[in-house]
Amino acid sequence: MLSSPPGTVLCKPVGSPRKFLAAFVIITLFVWLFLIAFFGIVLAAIPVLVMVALFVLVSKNSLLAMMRWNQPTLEISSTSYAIGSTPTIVYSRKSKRVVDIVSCSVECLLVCEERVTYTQGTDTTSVARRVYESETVSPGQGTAEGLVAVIELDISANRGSPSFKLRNNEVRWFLTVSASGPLLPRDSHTFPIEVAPVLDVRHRAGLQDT
Amino acid sequence: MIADRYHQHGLRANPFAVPQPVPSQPGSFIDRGLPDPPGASSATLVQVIGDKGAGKSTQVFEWQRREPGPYHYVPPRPYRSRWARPPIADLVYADEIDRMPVPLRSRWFRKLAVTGATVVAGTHVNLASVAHRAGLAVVTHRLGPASVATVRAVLEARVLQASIVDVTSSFRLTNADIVDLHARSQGSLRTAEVLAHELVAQRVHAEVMPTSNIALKVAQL
Amino acid sequence: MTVGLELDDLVCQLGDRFTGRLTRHADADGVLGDSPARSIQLVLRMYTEGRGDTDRRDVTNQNFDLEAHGGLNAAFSLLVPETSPVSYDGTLMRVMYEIEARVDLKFARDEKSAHQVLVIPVGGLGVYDRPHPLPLYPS
Repeated sequence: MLSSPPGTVLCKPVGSPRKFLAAFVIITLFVWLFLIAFFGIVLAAIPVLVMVALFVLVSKNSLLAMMRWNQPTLEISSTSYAIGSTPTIVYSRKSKRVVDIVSCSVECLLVCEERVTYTQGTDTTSVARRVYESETVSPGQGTAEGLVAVIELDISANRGSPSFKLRNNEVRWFLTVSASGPLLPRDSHTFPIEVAPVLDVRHRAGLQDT
Repeated sequence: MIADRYHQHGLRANPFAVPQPVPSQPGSFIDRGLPDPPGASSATLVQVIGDKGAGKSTQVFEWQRREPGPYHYVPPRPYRSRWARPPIADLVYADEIDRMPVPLRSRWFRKLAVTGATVVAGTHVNLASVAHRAGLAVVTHRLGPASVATVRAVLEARVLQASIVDVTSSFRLTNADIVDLHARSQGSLRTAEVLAHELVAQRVHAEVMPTSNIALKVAQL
Repeated sequence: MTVGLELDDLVCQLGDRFTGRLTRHADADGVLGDSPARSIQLVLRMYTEGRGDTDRRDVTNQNFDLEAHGGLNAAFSLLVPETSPVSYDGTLMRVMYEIEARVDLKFARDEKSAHQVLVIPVGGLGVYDRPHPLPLYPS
């Protein structure tokens, strides 16, 4: 059971590798059974083995991380973040076995992305553009269970918009976080965050110089 | 008074915003040098072949605007809508007919051939052999990647349409802008417009115009 | 007869209200009760412009029944819900707001009058004179 300090929530990354793996296994089984009907068990195994090899090659980092580490969590505010604010969040990841982490860093990319859908000519197309990116590198600390890092975000008041979602127009914010260092997995995770249409007090009228 | 970033640059809005409604408007069409299709009742398929964003639909809409006739569009989904019955007339326009199910398209071509109709259609694939088998003559136009000159003409026309009259300090795309947009879009007009939209948006954000008579003129519009 | 729409302020933060007066002169001499105008609907509308297809939404509205002679002089107050997006000038899109007064006319095309307005983030009063985001180099 996840627990977090008052005023915060623990956020899990989007897209679970376990579900991805399960989907791959199911699809591969179906393909294999289909091929068995035409080519027999042995011949049908060849394309299946090729599929598995390709999958392992592409998802190597995620698979290794999944075997040794739990999914990371992010301790974020239970309320949406204000425009122009610089909140701190806590990244943590637990290891499945004892790992002695001496030094590591956690890279966090904060992204604001516009996404639109339009019909032109006779095609419906979606276009997405990153209108704001802010990268921070924070030192991580090894703990008895894994690693922890405190990350400061810079939510711009001069780029991007508060989060919103309309039928054809959307603005969303998310974080892409990865850790680097000896014995650490080389995968990255995406966490959506909400930015509220509230201006941070530092940007309000008459308070700029305080 | 609300400051409008686009008005401050002599523009009503971003010139590359998707127009509403979508079909080509008079004055917005850039001639790609294709000869006009034969008139009605010529028993001919005039097919315009090109990739997405090449300008097939714009060309077909323009011909339809000049010589009206029924128009048929084959949507990608739901699949059953691809089976919608296409029209039969002396002059018919259609788009994305490569999506039409083969039996329906063959039957439609045969009916058009029997009535001696002219069909002007946008397609991604060459349908000449099917049309020949049905008894239609075929005229094929291929719209490849747009040249720098075409991209320039399209983009400058859009900027002109969005410009506020009587404002001298209006927005301009430079030659370097257009060459860059052409290179990045690889000749796709649609991609060039998306990139140009971003360029204009970034430029009106980045440049702070001094308070001038431009804002006053805009306020009077 | 045109409808008059006077706004106390063109800028409003989320959760607050656009206020002002809505006026319409009486038809003819103001005595006859045969005006074709029946009511005025005041709408705060959000819409988008840009590369995406337009999203359009009536955020709040208020109805005013007209006198028999078609005249009106009334105060209005339109709430901007906190869940609405703010006015925004983006790279692929813009989010814009307008207040439209539409006079419902019997057997005739409705009269309309509209004003562009600015919806700003909470706490943005005195800071914004244009859609979000804040300019990097204020003029």
